[in-house]
Amino acid sequence: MALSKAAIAALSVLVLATACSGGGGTTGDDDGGDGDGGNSRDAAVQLYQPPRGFSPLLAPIGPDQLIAQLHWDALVSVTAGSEYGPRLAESWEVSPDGTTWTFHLRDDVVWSDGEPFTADDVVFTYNLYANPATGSAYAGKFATVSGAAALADGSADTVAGFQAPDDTTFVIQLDQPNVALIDELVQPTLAVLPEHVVGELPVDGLAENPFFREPTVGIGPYVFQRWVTDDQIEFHANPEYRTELGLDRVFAQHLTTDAAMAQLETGEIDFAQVAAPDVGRVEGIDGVTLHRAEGAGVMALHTAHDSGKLADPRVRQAIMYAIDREAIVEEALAGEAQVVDTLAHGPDWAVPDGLTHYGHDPDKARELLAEAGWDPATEVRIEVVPGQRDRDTTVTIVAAQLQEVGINARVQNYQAAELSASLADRDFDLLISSYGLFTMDPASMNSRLTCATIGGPNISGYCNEELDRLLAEGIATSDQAERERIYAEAQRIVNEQVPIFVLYVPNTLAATNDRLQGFELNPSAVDAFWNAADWSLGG
Amino acid sequence: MVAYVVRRLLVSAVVLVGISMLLFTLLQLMPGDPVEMMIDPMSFSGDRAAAIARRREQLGLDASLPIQYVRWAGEFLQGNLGFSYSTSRPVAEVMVERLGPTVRLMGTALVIGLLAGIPVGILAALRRNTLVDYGAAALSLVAISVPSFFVALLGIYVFGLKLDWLPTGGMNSVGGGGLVDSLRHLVLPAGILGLALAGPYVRYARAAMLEVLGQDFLTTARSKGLSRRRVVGRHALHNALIPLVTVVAIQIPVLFAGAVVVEQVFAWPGMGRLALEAVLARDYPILLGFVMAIAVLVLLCNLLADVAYAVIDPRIRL
Repeated sequence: MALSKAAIAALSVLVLATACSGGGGTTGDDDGGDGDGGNSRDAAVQLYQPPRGFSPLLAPIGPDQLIAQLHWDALVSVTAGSEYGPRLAESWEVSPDGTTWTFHLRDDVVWSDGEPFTADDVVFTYNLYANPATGSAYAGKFATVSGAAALADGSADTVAGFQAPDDTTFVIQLDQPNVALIDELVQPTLAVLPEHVVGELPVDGLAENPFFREPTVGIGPYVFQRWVTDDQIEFHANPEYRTELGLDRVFAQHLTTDAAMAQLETGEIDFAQVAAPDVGRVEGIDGVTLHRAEGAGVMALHTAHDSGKLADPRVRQAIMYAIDREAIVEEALAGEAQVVDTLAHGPDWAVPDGLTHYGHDPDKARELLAEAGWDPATEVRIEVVPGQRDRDTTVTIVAAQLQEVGINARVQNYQAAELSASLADRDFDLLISSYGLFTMDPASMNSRLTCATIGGPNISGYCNEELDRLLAEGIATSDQAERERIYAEAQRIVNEQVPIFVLYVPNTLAATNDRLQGFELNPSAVDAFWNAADWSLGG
Repeated sequence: MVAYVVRRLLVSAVVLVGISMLLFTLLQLMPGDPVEMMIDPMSFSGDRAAAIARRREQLGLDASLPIQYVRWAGEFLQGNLGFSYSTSRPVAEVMVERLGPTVRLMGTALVIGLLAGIPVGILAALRRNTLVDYGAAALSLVAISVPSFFVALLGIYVFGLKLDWLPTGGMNSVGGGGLVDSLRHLVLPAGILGLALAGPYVRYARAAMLEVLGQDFLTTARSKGLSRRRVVGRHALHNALIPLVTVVAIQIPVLFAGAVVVEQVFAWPGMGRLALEAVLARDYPILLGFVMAIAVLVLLCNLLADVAYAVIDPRIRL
């Protein structure tokens, strides 16, 4: 008995001790500890996955892209109106031949430690992006910059095509014309790094350098302060920021969708991303506003074209006709999506009239399958990483509808870790995945559909010489009427050949507590914090 | 006893080596590759194969499995658990950071479980076959059989959303908050985990108590004319506690497993969530660190249970 009393006493002490130590320390100063925490100029935002850190060189994940918009800044980014918007660059122009891009930078920007930001920082950072030795995930984007090849093979230390003629001008010189290069710079938004700090670090493997876990210098409105826990980060207003800021601190925390919806309702958090099935619930919460924008990315099925299973375009068209996409949007997404018939569904000038609309038509699907001599015994897997309600419902419906027209389809669940390997092995029949910003320039389809990007972002391994020629011409032509003609032709090929089965364009949805003002929804979900500098609290 | 403890510790060390080897092999057998995943083909632009090879070499994953194991074990013995694949942070640092929240949750839950379970179990034994007994049996059955994620979601809905008495998740309010804030966040997760623990404790306590109550020495004690209070409180309880200590000690590692779910639902930044995230991301160093820590804990708790036996029951000589 005595022993168990002692044990209980010891445990209680332990519990109290840890309970006291956790929250205390650095922040116990400013409030008594009740309610939604902290003082009245603090905001809390949700991250839907755990953040990794602030390395802009790594292959991007959503939460890292979000927090990067608080801490770092970029030359350009997507605006709420789906346009290329100025950030550190005030304006830019491309030479008529499409080989010289000139960015005019702001002259009033300083890093959070007081050092001035100049074009040298940009040249320094873009050299890191173009250099595979840093572990950069973007070397492929800059392969056509003059001198990039020399850097990659080691015959040069820097890329000759990145130049800073003066403190506020940054020039990119290309070997091959690309009038849509800017599209590469916003997908994703490419942060600029401080040369006076990052320049001290070893270039080899820089992407994984621990500096990016706790960066000491920033340039965005709210700079990294500390990891409260390893999935919650505290940001402080950047004292050197170029405009007056409405908040003192921002807390970004990983919360699952369910937890985020609950905390939104209790007012514990001010921003959360919203899944389509939760729209009704969010709209019913007092004091919370639902933001909705027509999305920029697509939800699509991908097939490994080189496997040959769905090689006949008639089979691919049959699959499109077999799927009732309108019904899926209603059933799985509560109507929160648009059905489109081509990958690059915007801007308007790039989508020609007269594209085939793949409405639900099972008879036509059967007809096409018969023409193509489809063997009903051939098994078609629908690969999915389960866990998102809209996606899970979608694949179930798709499987049933494909079976209805005589395709032996079945859903196969994957874990995310397995998926990368089967992508690399090109071992998938109908893999569901969402990605991209396809609304700003039709050149956005280049990385997904050209032969040169097979093994990279062209995960389907699709290669069509005619399309390749058109897409190359499209970025080499600056005359707008001419581009319109080129892309009309390219879009018709994509529409008819169905290299990627575009299911729908999900709306971008987010919810904010009404006390958070100035929030403006960006159609690109990973750019949700793009105007954090305008946020303030009221109400 | 010292010799016994030393002998047990030596055996434990051998067991740990076995566990680590098995674990190392099993992890590699898991489908999915961490490096393939880090260099995501969806978003990587450039020479992906070269980037994968570079990263593999950097992480030492290009070596054969036995060599990887020897390297890892060598570092482990020097107290270096390696670095997380996904965040490049030292594993030991990450685990220590997560240990505090988990101990806070587990410790409180254990105290709640013991304080709620054992007295109820003893009372049920003393009032055997009465309403009290049946009531306790029913409650413990519910506590055992209703999954904790369900109770957790129900708790969030009722106390967090409808009544707005308690926070719905997290360990602190955003930006910290004081002791009161921490305690408020602790109530729901620790309470729910504690009650789930109390279920089995009620049963064990009742069974142990009944067994002792039926034994001859208690009849002797009663016939000596000792008060009921003294018979139950001193003679019966003391002896009933022995098997309970084992149950509690052995259950501590089980607690960690149960915490995975509760931590996930309540967004509690503890070890359970760390482990889950590490599995999904195939973060081998974190997983190895976590499972080794659990293995050490299991071995220690078993040892502790045996030693506690000897302390409580003088008849047992180690």
